[in-house]
Amino acid sequence: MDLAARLVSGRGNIMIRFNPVFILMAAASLCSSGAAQPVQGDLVLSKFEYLSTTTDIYTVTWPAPTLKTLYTRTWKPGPLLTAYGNRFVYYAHLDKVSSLGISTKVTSISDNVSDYELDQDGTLMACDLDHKKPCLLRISGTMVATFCTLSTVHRFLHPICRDGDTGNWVVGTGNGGLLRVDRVTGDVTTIHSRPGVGISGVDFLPRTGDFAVIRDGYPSKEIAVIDRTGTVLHSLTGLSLGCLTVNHRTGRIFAAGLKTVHEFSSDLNIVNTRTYPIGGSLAQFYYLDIWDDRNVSVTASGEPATRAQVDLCFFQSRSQPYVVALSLSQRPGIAFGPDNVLNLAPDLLFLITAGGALPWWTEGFAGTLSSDQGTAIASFTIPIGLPPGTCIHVGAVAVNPAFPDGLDVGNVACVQVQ
Amino acid sequence: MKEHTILAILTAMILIAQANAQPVQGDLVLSTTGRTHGVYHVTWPSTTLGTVTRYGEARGIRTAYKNAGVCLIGKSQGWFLQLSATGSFTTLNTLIPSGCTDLELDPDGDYYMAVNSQDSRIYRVGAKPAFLALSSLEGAPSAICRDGNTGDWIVGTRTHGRLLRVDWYEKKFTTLYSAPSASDVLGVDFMPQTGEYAVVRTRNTIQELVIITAGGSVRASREIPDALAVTANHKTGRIFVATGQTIVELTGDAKIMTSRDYGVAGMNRRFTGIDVWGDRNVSLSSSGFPPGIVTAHLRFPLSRGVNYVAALSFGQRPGIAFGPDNVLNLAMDSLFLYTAAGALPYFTTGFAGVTSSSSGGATARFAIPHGIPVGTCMYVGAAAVNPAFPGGLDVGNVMCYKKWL
Repeated sequence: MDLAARLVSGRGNIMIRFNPVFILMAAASLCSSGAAQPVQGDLVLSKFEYLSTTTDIYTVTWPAPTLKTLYTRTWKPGPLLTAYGNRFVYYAHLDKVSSLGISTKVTSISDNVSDYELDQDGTLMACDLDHKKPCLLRISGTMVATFCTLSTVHRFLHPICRDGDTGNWVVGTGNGGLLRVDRVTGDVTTIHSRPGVGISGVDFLPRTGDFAVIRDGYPSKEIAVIDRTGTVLHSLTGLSLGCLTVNHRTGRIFAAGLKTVHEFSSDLNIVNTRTYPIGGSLAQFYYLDIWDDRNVSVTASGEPATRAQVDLCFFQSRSQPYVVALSLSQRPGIAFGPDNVLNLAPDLLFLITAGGALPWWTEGFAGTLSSDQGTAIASFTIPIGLPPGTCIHVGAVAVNPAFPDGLDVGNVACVQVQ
Repeated sequence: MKEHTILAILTAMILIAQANAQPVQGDLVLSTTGRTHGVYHVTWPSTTLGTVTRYGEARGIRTAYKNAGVCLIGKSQGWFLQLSATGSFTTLNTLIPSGCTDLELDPDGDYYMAVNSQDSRIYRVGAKPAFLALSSLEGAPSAICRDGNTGDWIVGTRTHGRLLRVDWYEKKFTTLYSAPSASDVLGVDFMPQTGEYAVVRTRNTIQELVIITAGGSVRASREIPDALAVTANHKTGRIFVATGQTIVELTGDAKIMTSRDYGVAGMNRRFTGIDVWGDRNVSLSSSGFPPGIVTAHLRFPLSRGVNYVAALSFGQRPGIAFGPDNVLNLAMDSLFLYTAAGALPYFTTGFAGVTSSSSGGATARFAIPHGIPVGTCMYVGAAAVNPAFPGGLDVGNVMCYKKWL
């Protein structure tokens, strides 16, 4: 009798119920899969191995010495990004991988796509590094459309992040340009240029408004912090790095290259370093992000007086109270502890919206997270009278004694007013 | 020239000047038919009528958007004209079938709603192509006003003297009141201070004013022979009824206070419509959909270059009394406290400022709160600081904004 037949037969059921070996195996499997699931704040990294036909996604509760494998697939590796609502990560060209390691196809997209970032309307922006036609793509559901095409001067368009201060895009190019791309018009301005020194990683530092970049080819020899005017504030050379991300809560920068992950302070002092035995000698970390760092995701057109929906997901704070607030600035943030900062300035907009103090125009700004996923939905009316291009910052925290200072602090999402 | 001749000429000039003086805010303004038809105004309770124009034999009259004069309905043709204080006309539309008898300003600021008793239809009329709001109503509609309570239309009919509440967006109507005997509604207006409706009607050959509650019952009535049209002063709560050549002022309980007869032998004119000139201090420019920004156009022509404040409320009653005859019909609820005089930045703009020195105008805007249920009414009111008014405030009307979507 095959397994299927046993399962549907009475004898099969009896076997499942009483076979101790089966029960132990099932329990072990459940425990194993549970333990392997990443939690909020874990690093999530992808691997690229030259001449290999497989690629992996790992997670690590930093700075643990051991990686956990979330997902393994055959060719090809690609960009990695924590998705809207913390439900999964976007991966490669283009799948989404859940916390259980289950992969689902989103759409098919060119292998030239080198990085992703989420827009405020829930769509996904992508960099296409085609050197003949560098462009930004917008992915909405399964639809892929060209948002803007850049001059071939900016060839090898590679990393992208969202400028949290303005809501525009910041992209790095293979020939040393750090560019700002207007979110609406697609107009390009140069923040910083250093010809011949390619940029392979970029992210926004909400505590200072600066940008952390990795440059000088791949693997890079330099990590730098560049301010909004293009001035290099800090730089560190001598490391082999390929990708980076910023922890919005602590302000720490994580960068990985070859088989090593580094944690830096915002002024680029090395705080921690870990080397992990991944693959063969030709294997190296390819992309990294932070799991569940999209506690706050906003869907909004940005048109004044329209509705913006805020999706909250604090998986580790299920059934706990939460509060949401708006602000016109991220700085100075509200520090609940040295490594626990909500990047919202306590300005007038903050004071009138914090925790739902403004009924009717804000909804669900205070409440209790769901017991299953730690989710909640809030919404607000986009303010009026603000100049187009102004950013409204949306932040949230959940009350959770298990976290430092008793607060599970979420990220801050930016809505650009149109 | 002898002294008494000079005196007579001077007196005549003064009288002519008075008669032709432009109407000001708070004046009653009347449309007429007859051989000496025209549009007249009176600073109540003056005994003298002023003339806005000698043209325009009209069946109905309403204060125009942004207080820019009045809108008139042609007596026999289908024209709709807008008339300024200086007596100049602007054509709004000439394509509506004749038979319209009354009109009311739509809150979107572009259109008037007009009822046509001949084809039993309600029209939206504006400079843009007019279109039908409702295909037909049961009973010939003859009078219309906006229900300040709900943002719907209140339509009076010539069959059973009904009052219908018409949901413009849903395009459906319900009967608010049905007269027990043969009746013909001639005019209707909303009374913000009580939420009731002042109705002028014919019942068994008797003309009368009745006060009908929002629940559809008659609270008070008064026989007024030859009554044809009615308006309610939102600020004082007084009711004015126009008869053939007489204007009667009544309290909200239908008690007669003052009556003035403007009949002149041989004039052969008859009042057909009445309204309060310049009582649109607040006009909206939104019909309630889609969600977005609502613009409130403020116009205080008697309070130019002075400070003004605006506020929102979820109710009109109890209003805020700045004197016995000077009431701002906004309830002092939490929404009022949030928004009064611009206390809610980012979601209201222009809720406090200075009116323009030329027109007394200003613009206030607010974002429609999405968190309130569809169908909720919000009320927008404003007042200008002016020591010449009772209580030191030139109190404006209150407009109802209804959230449709």
